[in-house]
Amino acid sequence: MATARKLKAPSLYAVCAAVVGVGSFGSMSWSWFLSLATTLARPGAGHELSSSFYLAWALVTTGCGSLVLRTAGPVGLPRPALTWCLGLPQVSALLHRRSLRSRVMAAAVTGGTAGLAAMIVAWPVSGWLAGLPPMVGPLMGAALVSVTAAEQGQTPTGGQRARLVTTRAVSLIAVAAGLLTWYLASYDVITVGAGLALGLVGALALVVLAAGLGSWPAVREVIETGGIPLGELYRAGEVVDRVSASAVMMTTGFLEPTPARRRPIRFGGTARLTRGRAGWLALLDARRVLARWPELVVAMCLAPLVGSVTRVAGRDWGCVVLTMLSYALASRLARWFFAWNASPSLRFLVPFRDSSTTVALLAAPVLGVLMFSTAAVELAGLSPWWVASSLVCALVGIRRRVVEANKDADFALVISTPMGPLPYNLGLRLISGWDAAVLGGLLSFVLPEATVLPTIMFASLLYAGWTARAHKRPARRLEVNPTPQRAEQLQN
Amino acid sequence: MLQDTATSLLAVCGLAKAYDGRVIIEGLDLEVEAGSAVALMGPNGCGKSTVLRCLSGHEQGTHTSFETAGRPARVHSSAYRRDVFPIFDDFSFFPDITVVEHLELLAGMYDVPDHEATAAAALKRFGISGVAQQFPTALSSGQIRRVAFAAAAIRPWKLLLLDEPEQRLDLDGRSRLVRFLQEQMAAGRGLVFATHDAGLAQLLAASVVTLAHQG
Repeated sequence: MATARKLKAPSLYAVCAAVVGVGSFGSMSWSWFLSLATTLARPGAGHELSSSFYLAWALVTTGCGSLVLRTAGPVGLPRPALTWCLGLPQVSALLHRRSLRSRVMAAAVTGGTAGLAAMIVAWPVSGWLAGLPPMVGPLMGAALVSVTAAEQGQTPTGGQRARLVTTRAVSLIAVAAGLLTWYLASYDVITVGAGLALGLVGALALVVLAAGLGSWPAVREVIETGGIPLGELYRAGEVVDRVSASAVMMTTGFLEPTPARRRPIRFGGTARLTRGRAGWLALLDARRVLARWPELVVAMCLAPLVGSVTRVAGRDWGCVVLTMLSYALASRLARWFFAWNASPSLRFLVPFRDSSTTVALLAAPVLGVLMFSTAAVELAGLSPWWVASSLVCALVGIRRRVVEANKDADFALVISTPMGPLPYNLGLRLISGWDAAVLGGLLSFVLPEATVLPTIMFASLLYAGWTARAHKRPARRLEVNPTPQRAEQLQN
Repeated sequence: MLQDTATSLLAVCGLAKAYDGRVIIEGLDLEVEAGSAVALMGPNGCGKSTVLRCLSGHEQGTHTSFETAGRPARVHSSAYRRDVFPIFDDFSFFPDITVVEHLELLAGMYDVPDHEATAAAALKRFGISGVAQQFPTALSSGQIRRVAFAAAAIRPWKLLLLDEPEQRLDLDGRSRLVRFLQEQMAAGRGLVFATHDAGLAQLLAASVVTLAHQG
């Protein structure tokens, strides 16, 4: 039997980004579209709005949706996890997802919704062509889910890989064109992107549909067997092995997603300059981040969300979303930093001072957040101070998460609240990091623009000092009094 | 007081550890000289792993003196972490990189020349060249052990702490490990390991410290 294909693993970050991003983006965009439709219904309203702006927004939405479905969609699980989730429903009740049929239907409805939204947006500039998205949308959503599921249920071929690459490439082009159009539209000099935009979306739809038709036998097999071909069920042994190994050896192997295959990381001539220094660690961390570029792309695709929130709900809420997304991205990129902090054995592998290692492992997250927040702030029209503010909030959030993770907390502690029992320490652990990001963003409600950054900096320094002092405080010593027999032995 | 600290890699006096008032280790004296091995033996739960974890700083114990090379040791300092290399059950890896990338990262951090060839040689030495391009999470526990020992072949150290190193290894892996450890000891490095296998202690000519349940 051929080796199972290593598909993109749906990390917790990606799933959260998909759920939060798509959910919030979708709900807010609907309200936005409704208000837009109301505006357009008025005579002469078309002159008040830059239709290319909204067209670009629809294009970005479509591209992001395609990427999210491909990268972190409900069917983006690696094969062992898919087997576990779909093949062992009694055991995996908590992890069990909806059947493939339901997911295909949901994707079709989502695609139809997006298509309808695109029609409303595109109508003023494209006329009858705007009628295409509502028809193509459901097919595209259903095909995306079906094709991805089918690809997981069979040995990959060159053609499937090519289709996957093509779909992603077209999605990326759509997003890039949308962002460019959006940027130009903000200066009211655009009508250029309109035709290109619809063409790209149409091309994407055609590619996906062609892929779906080509994979129809596999799709049918997957649907008929309720989510996974029967012939593949023996692969559950792979899962059982990993679970057994995890249980017996107390490893976390099963809990960690299997990373996707990628090109090997190689060190070039510049790497030699950093050998033996913390820079070597930073360099490999950066290359590791770049090797997982789809995550970066998904993160960058969420940048327009800040602009959307700012326009719909106002500047203050835009700042909150900015700081939260910055922290989400930073915590995703700081996986090595978290791993190094959490694992004593990794600390023994790294020979550098803790301060040097910290700087090296935070370099990639800092750069990533700077890129994201710069783009988001530019798109949202926020003050440039928020680039620095969101970065500081993200770093404080990372620090909060590390500090809370290192605490020897009792997760069984439950406190009584009017809403019922609340697992206090567990809740604290879950929100640690996010709380710093939210609080930093909420400062925009109460402080003028120019004073937010100094306030955040001051609070961060206070927090850093407090945690450093807590760490330096000597731990409680457990003195052992020798037993009488041992005391006698020692005396002798 | 422990004597002859010139060749002493590690000297601990009066090591003690208790969990919630339950005494696990009490007044343990231990000295590891260059080129020697110390085997900790005893029944389950007698504190073998706890001793190792106290030596590595994973656990905090009390002691009257703790020295490396005749000087007071700070178990959480980067200097101590450079000299001591623990390989326990919780040996872990950086996420998202393959086995060979991990070893190359290690070689680069310690400025080992020709990191690619060094990593390849370490993999070959422990018979795991075939998993070089795999991610550690996809390996079996025995393969993970071998990768950890391959890391020990790359990373410079003076004292190696091993918790039941023979576990999860097949005969081939075990013989490779013994050969590796014997070479390291011949090069003047020290070894402290917990084991239930008297044969392994004998093969490594280790001084045996037998621990017993306290109380």
